[in-house]
Amino acid sequence: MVTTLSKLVEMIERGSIPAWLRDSILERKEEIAKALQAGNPYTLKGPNGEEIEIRAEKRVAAA
Amino acid sequence: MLAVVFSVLLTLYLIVPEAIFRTIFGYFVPEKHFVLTRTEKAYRAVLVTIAPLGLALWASWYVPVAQDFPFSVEKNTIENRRADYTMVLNALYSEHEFEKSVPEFWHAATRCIRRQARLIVWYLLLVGLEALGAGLLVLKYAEYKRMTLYKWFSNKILFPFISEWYPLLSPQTLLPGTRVQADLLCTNDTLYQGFVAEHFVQDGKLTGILLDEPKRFERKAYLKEKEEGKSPDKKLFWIPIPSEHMYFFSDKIVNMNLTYISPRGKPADAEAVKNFIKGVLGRSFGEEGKITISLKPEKPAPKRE
Repeated sequence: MVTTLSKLVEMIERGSIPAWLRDSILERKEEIAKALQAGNPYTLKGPNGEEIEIRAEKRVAAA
Repeated sequence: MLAVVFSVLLTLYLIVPEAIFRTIFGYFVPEKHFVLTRTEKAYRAVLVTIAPLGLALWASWYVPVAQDFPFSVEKNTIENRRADYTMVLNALYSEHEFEKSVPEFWHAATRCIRRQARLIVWYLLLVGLEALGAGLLVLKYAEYKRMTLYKWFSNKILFPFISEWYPLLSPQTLLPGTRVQADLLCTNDTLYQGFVAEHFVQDGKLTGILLDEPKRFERKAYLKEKEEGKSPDKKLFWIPIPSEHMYFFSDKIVNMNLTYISPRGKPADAEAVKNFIKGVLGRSFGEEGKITISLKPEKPAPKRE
């Protein structure tokens, strides 16, 4: 093993997403895409009151 | 004769305790996940036995109950103990010495065996307790992992020789509630997806993976629709396989993409969320599909009155 266990676990934790969020995103994929394409933010609410707002980044005009 | 006695002592003091430790600790982290050379095995045996042996030795000399129980020896003073061991060692070393003091030798040998048996009983008991304690510390990994001392202990003592597949494919022990979703590209150029139920290793090398809720991606049909200028929905091309579990031989896997799904109530990591959304939605919006995420943490639980 070239790395320590704690480094691998930290990497896994950094890359993990909550189950409710995964399910919500997969269920509302079309709705989210539509909202973002229209330039609107989309908010997902978690079971414990947590919120995640998704926005499409706006194109910055070249100077 | 001395060599035989030495072999017996090595078995009783190193090999048996290490096997006991491995068996008990194996209930928490199965032994197959550790990858050790013969030297590392010997090093680990010394590492796990040194503290219980020292403690058992101290207890059998100074702690009232452990001094006499089990297999008590009458007049067990330091002087008598030394005299008995000297006589036994001399007799084992030289036949001449043995013949000089045959009746005394058997009395001294009996007392030495009783002392050793008492020491071994306490020693093995402490090894068992140590293995149990180490196993319970493994279960507390998620809780204590940010503590510096625990981090050092887990890296150097608990898991120094663990296979990288263990945290990657079975993180449930270390991060309770975490599920692993794997996308496996196989040698038949087919992409499979499912949740990792179990993985199998031999000498640290992955031999196979068992997936729950397996699905197969209809790549050819998907590419055909793309070529036709349609914008196919990837989700519709994942076909569930009519089987609860599906086994994949590791030599048939070209690469694997792993997604970790954390349990409910755990705060989300913005970067991980962003990557997941980008993966699901593709680049169908924003400048080059770029998105920003803002997270509001969960509300604190109401206080009990």
